[in-house]
Formats: sequence, C-alpha cells, structure tokens
Amino acid sequence: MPRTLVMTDSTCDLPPEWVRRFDIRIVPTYVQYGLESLADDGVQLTRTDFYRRLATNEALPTTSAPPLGQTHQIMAQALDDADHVVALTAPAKLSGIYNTFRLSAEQLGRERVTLIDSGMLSMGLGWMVITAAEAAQQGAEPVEIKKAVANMGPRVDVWAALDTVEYLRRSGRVGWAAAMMSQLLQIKPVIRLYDSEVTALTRVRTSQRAFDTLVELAHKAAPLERLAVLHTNNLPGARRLAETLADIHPAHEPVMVDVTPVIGVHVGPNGLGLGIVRQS
Amino acid sequence: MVEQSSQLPSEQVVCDGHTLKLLAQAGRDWLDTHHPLVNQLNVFPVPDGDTGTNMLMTMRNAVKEAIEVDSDAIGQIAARIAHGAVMGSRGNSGTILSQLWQGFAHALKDQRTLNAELLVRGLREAADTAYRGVIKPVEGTILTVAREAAEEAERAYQDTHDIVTIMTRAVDQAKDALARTPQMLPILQKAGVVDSGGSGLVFIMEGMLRYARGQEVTLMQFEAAETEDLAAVLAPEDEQGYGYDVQFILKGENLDVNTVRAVIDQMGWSTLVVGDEEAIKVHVHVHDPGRPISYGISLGTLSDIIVENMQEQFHDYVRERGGHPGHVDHISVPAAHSQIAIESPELNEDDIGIVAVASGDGLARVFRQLGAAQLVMGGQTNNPSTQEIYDAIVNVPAKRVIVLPNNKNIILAAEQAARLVTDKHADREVIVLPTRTMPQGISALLPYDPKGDLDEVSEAMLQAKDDVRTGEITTATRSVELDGVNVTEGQIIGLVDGKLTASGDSIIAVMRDILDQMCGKDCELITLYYGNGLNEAEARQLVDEMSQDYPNQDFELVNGGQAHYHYILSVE
Repeated sequence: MPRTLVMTDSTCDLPPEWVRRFDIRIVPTYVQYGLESLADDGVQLTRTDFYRRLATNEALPTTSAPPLGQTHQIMAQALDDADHVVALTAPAKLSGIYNTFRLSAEQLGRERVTLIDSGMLSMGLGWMVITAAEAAQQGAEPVEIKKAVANMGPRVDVWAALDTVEYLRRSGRVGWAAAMMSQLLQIKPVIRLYDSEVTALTRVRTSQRAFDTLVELAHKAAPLERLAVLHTNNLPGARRLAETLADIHPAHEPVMVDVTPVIGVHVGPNGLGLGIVRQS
Repeated sequence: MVEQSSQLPSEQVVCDGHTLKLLAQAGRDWLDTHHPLVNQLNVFPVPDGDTGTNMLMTMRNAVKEAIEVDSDAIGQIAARIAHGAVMGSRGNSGTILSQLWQGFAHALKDQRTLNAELLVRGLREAADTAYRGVIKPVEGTILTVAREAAEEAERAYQDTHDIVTIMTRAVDQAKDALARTPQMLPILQKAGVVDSGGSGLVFIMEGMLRYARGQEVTLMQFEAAETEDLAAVLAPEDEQGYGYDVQFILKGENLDVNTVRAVIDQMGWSTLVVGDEEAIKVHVHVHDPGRPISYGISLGTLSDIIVENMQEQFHDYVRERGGHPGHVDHISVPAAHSQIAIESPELNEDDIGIVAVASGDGLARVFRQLGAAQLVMGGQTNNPSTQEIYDAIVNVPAKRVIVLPNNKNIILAAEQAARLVTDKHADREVIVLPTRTMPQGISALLPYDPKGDLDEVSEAMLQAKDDVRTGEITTATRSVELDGVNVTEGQIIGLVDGKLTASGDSIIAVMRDILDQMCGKDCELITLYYGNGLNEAEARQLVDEMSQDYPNQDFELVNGGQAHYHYILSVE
C-alpha cells in the first residue's frame, strides 16, 4: 500500500495518462444546465458536447462544486488505499470545492489528510499536483510534499487570453469583469490567475495581439521549469502558441490542454492560455 | 409534491418521521416554486452556480433519500434527509444547507417524535453546524437567517411549547433577518437585493410551516402576498423593470458577429452574442423584444426564438422601491444607446485617472466605457482650451492623471494644462501621451490599469497607441494639392494616420482606397466610427459592402457622433 496518495479536483486539467501514472484521485466538478447536472469527468460531459451545447441556443450553464458526499467518498477511498492523503484544490476564494475537501477531511480524520488550497486552476494546479505526486512516489513524507508544493507555489502562473470578456462578466466571479468591458467595442481581456486572485493584465482588440501578449509574458518569465499550453476549444491556436514558444520550452514536450468545461463556462470558447512554472 | 394536507397543530398531534418527510417535501416544493427568484438574487462574486438551483437540487436529493426509508422514527428520517442533502449538495449554498440538516438531524438522533424542546435544539444545532461548515462565516447570509431563526425559537420556547407557534415565530424572524441582510452586507445593498441563500432557506422553512398549518404548498404558483416582505427589498434591473429575456439563433451568410453584438448590445443588457458567419446565437435582455428580433430578421432567418417576460415573473415583487436603501447604485442600461448610463470609475486618490478628448458623443461613450474619468469635448475644428483640459485634470479624483489629447492640434494645449496643474498642485502628477487620433487614444486606453505604477502604465499605453492605424474620411473645404493628391472643394478626401492620401467623389470609393492602403495581410479588425451626419442604416450598408472586399476581417460599427468626419476608421 502506498504511503501517500495525492488527491485533487477536476479543475486541475491533468492529462488522463498522468492521472493514471500517479494514481491521482480526482473529484469531479459539475456543469449545470438548469436542473441537469453533469460531472466534467469526460464521460457525463465531454469537451466536444460542452462546446457544441455552448454554441446552441441553450441558456448558459453554471458550474458547481461537487456534492460534499462525493468528495467524502473519494477521500475515504483514498484513505483506505493509503496511509495519508495530500489534497490540493482549486482556490477557496473562487470555488466551494475546497470547503468540501475541508469538511471531508474533518470528518475522516484531519491528521491523515494534508489539505492545500493551491490558489490555482487548470495546469497551474496541475503542475503543483504533479510535483506532489512525484514526491509521493519517491516516498517523501507528507510534510516534505507540502514543503515542495509551498516552495513551488510562488513560481506558478496562469495567463489566459480570452476571446471575449462576456463569459467572465456573466459568471460574476470576478468583480472587475463588468467594468473592463465596453458595450460599444469588442474587448479581449488578457487575465492572470496568481495566488487565488484573478486580475486583468491588459485588454486587446485582436486575437493576434492577444497571442503576442501571451508570448511576451512567457518570454519575460523564462527560463521555465514547466510549460503547458491551455485552450478552450482552440487547438489550432494552441499548436501555434506551442510552436512559437519552442525556444523556451523546458526539456520535455509542451503539454497541450483543452481546459475543463467547468472553467470553460467562465472564460468562454476560443481562448488561449499558459500554465507555467518558473525555474527557481 | 404535497397537494393539500390536514392541519398539524398543537401538542396533541404527533410529529413523527412520516410527518417530517411530508414537511421536507413541502419545503422542497415551496423552494421549487420560488427557486427562479432565488437565482435572480445571486449577486455574490463567488457563487457556485445558481443558489436557488443548487439548494433545490440539494433538497430534492434529501427528500428522495428520506422517502426510501421505511421508518416512522423522526431521528432516522432526519438522518436520512441529512445524508441525502450531503450527497446531493451543490455549490456553497447546497453545502451549507446540508450542514443545517446535519445539525438538525444530530439533535434528533434516536428520537421517535418531535417536541418543542427538540425543535428548538434542532434549529440551534442546525445553525451552529452551518457556521462551522464555512471557512469564514459572514453575517448577512443564510447563516444569519438560520441563527436568528434558532434564537427566536429559543425565545418562543419560554412562552409556549406549541411546535407550530414556535415555528411561526422562527420563520417570521428568519424573514426579518433576511430583509436586514442588505444592511449587513454592502454588496447586497449595492445590488439592491437580499441574500439569495438566506431567501432559499426562508422558502424552505416557510414551505414547511405552510404544510404544518394546513396551507397549500403547490408547485409553480406564485403567492406574492405571502412573501411581500421580500418585495420591498428587491429592486428591478432598472427604472423600466425587468423587461424581456430574448434568445434566438440567427442564420445567414457572411454574418458579422461583432457588428451583431454591438447592435444588440445597444438595445439592452446582459448581451451574449456568439457564433460564426453562418449562425449566431443571440441572448439579450431588452425592454422591447421586437427590436432584436426585427434586427435579426433583417440579416437572415431566425430559429429557436425564446422570449421570456422577466417582468411578469417578478411583477409581484417589484412593486415599489422608493426610499429603500436597496436601490442605490444599481447599474442601469436603458435601451436607447444615446442614454447609456455609464458608471464612472471609482477612483481613489492614489489611483491613476484618465482625461480624454473626444470629438463626438459616441466616441465620448467609448472612452468613458474604457475607463476615462473625465472627458473634454473637442476635435479638429473646435480644439478645447487649455483651461478646459486643466479643469478636467483637476476634477479627476486621482492625483496621478494621464491625458489623451487624441488630436495632433491638442497635444500642446494638453501639455500646457498639465504644466499648469503640476505648478499649482505639487501633489499631482500628470503625463500627456501624444495620441494624435481618436483611434490611437482608444487603443492607448486598452492596457490602462488605475491601480498600476504610473511609469509602467503610461509606457504600456504609449506602446498600445501604435497598435492601430487611423483612417479619416471627410469633405474637402477648399481645393488644394497636398502630398501629391489633387483635391477639389466638396470632394471626399481620405487621410491615413493624418496624411492626405486619397480623394474621390464618394465615401465608399475613398474608403476602398484608404483601406487598401491601411489593411495589410495581418489586419484583423476594422472599426468604423460614423459621424453625426450619417445614420446607422447608411453606415451599416457601407459596412456590408466593405465586408465583401475584406471577408477575412471583422468589422465593428460604432456611432462616433463626430462632426465633419463622415468616418473615422481604426485598423488593427
């Protein structure tokens, strides 16, 4: 029995093969169409279905944290399978996911669960989970894993160039979204997630300018330890971004991630982003 | 669904597990009936989905689990409801609701029937557990509503041991607490609503009480009178009420999403326009649903048309808002674009503020929406005075100001005004960015960050101004030969980045000419600001023609309202 397992939520956007390789336990989050609630586990709601539905005449879906009971079940199973669980979640400031982890940990035994609010989403969270999983696989103690993640935290950044600010405004999760948009002009925001805060870096009006802004940000942050290219149903754009950043790729292949619908609801289709870790 | 029930009054009627199932169903159904309203109240920046929907899904699962249990012991049923709530909980509000049920169930553990003492203890434990279920409890939320209900139940218990009477007082107190939530949470006050989670809880408790009193609890029936106290604190979206929610799919050829979005957005609010050249999905809230639909029909065929009367849904609630603190500062966006109410940015002394010169009321709106704190009207033939610019700078609440002259003939006056300001006010810093055209000013404003470092912000803005090329189309006021272009008085002329480069007999010919000069392979977006001598229909027709020539570019049409210039173009 492994001594420590790593657990997270589906907003981490980790490719399935990595999830399998490290036996990472993932709690799904939910997209809600009215009273129809679908887990973003790639089975109940696939990326393809999600973006198809987004383009049709349905009301915009909302998103929700998993039921407390589901987090509880997955955590209980992980504790059956290992001595200890290190759990990293989406920012408590942005989602109720963390709270379901916290309540579950309290019910199941706080001493066996190391709970970390990653302050990150998508591959920002994903990279932290991978770091934890690698350490766990090498037999690190929970306290050491926590230290490794904490050491990494400040070096993790997520940037996203959204095709429109409308989804962000409608999601209501960032107060400034409404203020940054213009009813008269099409505005594309470039945003940053860092330490649980979503901020606007700039506004642009063309996708080329948005693309260039991401490239500039990545170059400024180089040398990089990890790099993931993120997109919302925009694989061609992601490929082009990965190629453009070939000069600063870390040793391994860049990871390309079609982000989970739960995040897609809030940022909208046709977005591009980067989830990076700076070298220490 | 509970149709009609016998009364459940007084001590002599036993409230056992079976009764609790029916009570929970009544709570669920009453919430079901009202959950759209609860959704509408959701204003928190950190919601997980819609509060009403989340709470309803939680209650549905709670009841479903309880119904499956064959027991009359109230403790067992309560535990089952709590389990169902935990397993079915959705979002923050659902999680808190599940914790309320867990606390309630804990108090009733091993009990067969409910009595007054257990009810009071149950409500207390429910509230306590819910407070513990939240990382940082905040007053003015569902927590406050639950706690005040529990406290009132404790007080009532001193006077009576009648369950229904205690419950009645608890529900009344819950409603009262709900009505006071805007006073506890500024964000609610600002949005003019009561707390959504709290109102969900009130509906659940009220549904249960209605059942206990033998009142009807039917689905989808609005009982405005019962919830009138909520009405007083609900503000409509604007003075004209909630209006209509209009949705449709527009199918056509060569549709321009950005233009459609811009036009639709000027008709109402909560706009969402997405799609491609062949199909566009439109969603907008308007007061006149005919406008977006007529506009859609003018461009192609419509399908999946949905028009919902939001007014009807809420008319019982939106009765009066006079004098109540709930309606301050709500964002109002009337349908007619000439009256678009724009919130001026809330600047602190330490922020950076923007002064922009605009040559038309439409351009002024654009600058305003992008964050300019003060506008000075002026342009080619009516340059504003140094005094006007000076006044605008000192009227900015922020001490650091960036000025966008947006015309080469205004840059000097702006610099002079800036010097006068800093000479007179040592605590002020003013930077004039040499923007020479309106599009340059608009482009410069994009990276503006009021909280940033002045040097960094002005540097980013300076760079951004050169992201666009500017075209201007006007009528020659005299005959001249300039820059190798021959112009006769009355002819249409075109300028590219301030330089005369084209002349012709029609606007469209000149526009073709200058776009040909300006729009290279990388060009992605062409924005046309039409002047005050043109109307939207003419301008739109021109855009339609030009988009044939530039099928790979997006066009945006904006009412610039400038004098003399038929069109100002920005190409990027």
